[in-house]
Amino acid sequence: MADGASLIARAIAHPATLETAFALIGALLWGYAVQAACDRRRPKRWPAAAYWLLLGLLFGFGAWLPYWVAGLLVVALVGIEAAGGVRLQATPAPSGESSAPRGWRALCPVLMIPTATFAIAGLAALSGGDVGRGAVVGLAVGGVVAVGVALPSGRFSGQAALEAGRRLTEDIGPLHLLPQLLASLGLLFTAAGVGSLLADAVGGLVPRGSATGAAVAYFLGMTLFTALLGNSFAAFSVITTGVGVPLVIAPFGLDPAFVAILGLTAGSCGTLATPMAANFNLLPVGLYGLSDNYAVIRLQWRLAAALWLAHVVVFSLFVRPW
Amino acid sequence: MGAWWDWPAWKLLGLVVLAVGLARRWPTGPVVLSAGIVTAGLAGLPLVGGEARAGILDTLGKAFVENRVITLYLLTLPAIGLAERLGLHAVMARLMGRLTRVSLAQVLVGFQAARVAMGALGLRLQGHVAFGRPIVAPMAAAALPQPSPARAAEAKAAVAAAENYGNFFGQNLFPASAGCLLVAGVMKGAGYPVDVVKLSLCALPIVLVSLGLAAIQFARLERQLRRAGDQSTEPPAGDAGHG
Repeated sequence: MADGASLIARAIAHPATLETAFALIGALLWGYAVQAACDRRRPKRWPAAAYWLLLGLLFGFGAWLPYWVAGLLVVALVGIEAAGGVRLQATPAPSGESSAPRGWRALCPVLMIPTATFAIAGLAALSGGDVGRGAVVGLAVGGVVAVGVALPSGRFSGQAALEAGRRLTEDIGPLHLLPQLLASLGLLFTAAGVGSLLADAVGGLVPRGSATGAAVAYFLGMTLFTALLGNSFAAFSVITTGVGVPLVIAPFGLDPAFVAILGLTAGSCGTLATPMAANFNLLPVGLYGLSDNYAVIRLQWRLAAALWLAHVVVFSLFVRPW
Repeated sequence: MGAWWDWPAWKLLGLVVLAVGLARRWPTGPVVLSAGIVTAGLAGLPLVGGEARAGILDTLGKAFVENRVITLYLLTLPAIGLAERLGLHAVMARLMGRLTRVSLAQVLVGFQAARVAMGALGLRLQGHVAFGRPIVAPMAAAALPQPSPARAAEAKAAVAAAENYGNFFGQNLFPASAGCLLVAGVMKGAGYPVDVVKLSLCALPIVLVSLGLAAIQFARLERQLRRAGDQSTEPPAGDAGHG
């Protein structure tokens, strides 16, 4: 039994497991590439095909490419996207939602994803492995199982699955690579020493020796910078490497996970209060047919202010008890 | 020595590029990329590094490849797309219609709680488009006794707010969400590796506080709208174009 458990833990932790998931994504993206290339109705099919091909290469073979080649590929991807190569085309949606909703059959595949995620995370925990790694592996397994459930229940072809996945990926649009790009930005800023520069600048304002004061400065920085950029992910990589780690976590030995996630949600408070986050705060104005452009923000900034104060309270209660 | 171009703060121009580019709504990818390249270039990083020093392209490629896990959800999109063709949105709508039908505040809090639950299960769905506009906004407007256009608009704005509250904070409860994975990636790069499951647990207090605060806000909004409805001589909604 103990052998079985350690086997599970080792399988989950093995690098090849995650590489397999990435290879699957690579294959999926190459499927999108072939589909885009064969779609004669699509005006810009070759740039789109090239985009999916290169992205698939990065996913499937990223671990074996020299880093500078991978970097070059990233630049090429951003270039193709900026030139409008993967913009969603107005091809008519095939059938769209089927006329009669088929109850639980539609829900089943989607529920497979969290089920597998939590099941494998739980298995990892029971077998003494890394739970987070288990959750990630579970997400990948869930995605595959869910397709396996959906295909027979709707009598879909593999082609339809590719089509559905590509459509959703294109719907998310240029945002789907953003988190990875932002992580790269954080690393570039660190390599360039921007983090320490920011830390020096903010460090002068933060009261020495006060963990709460430093945390307030970090949360405030996250909120303001997010409001400025309209994106808490972008702010997170910059402010956390520049302020959160050197001024809050490192000097006081605080729990990095708790401080970091509070930083991220302090950023979300900024998102709620800024017109810069247009897709969340301004898009609904048109979508819901409101006459006041700031109707949503006017409600949200009040909650954001109260919730921001709650961050300081949660910090003092859980991270730095008196 | 001491020349003006040696001023260390020139690197911060990258931040300026980032802020201006995002403010002007230039395409996000190129803005982020050029902010990084400007910063690294001003800091004197070579394009392709050697043994001693990482270059711009190396850093970019390394960060991208090592953070592929953030975009692992690409693997779940075909299944979600197929489920949508099987009528996922209609099913969700039916479930949500059963969940909430009484007062405006209950509709709003119920919607937010439902979005938190979806987020905790890692279901990436576009709430404004899929639920807010077609299902919850009409429910919210109907929950008011005599909705004038202005008050119905207030109620709908609150639906949009409930969607954002539930979505922003609820998604962190899922360990493999993009947010948790980004935090884990950045923290690993900063030398403080953290566990994504721990991250999702640490997100819980703020989720609970956000639900409580929103409940207070929505209850107050409902009281205010009802009072305005009792006093007003505004014509009832329905003849007012939008809605």
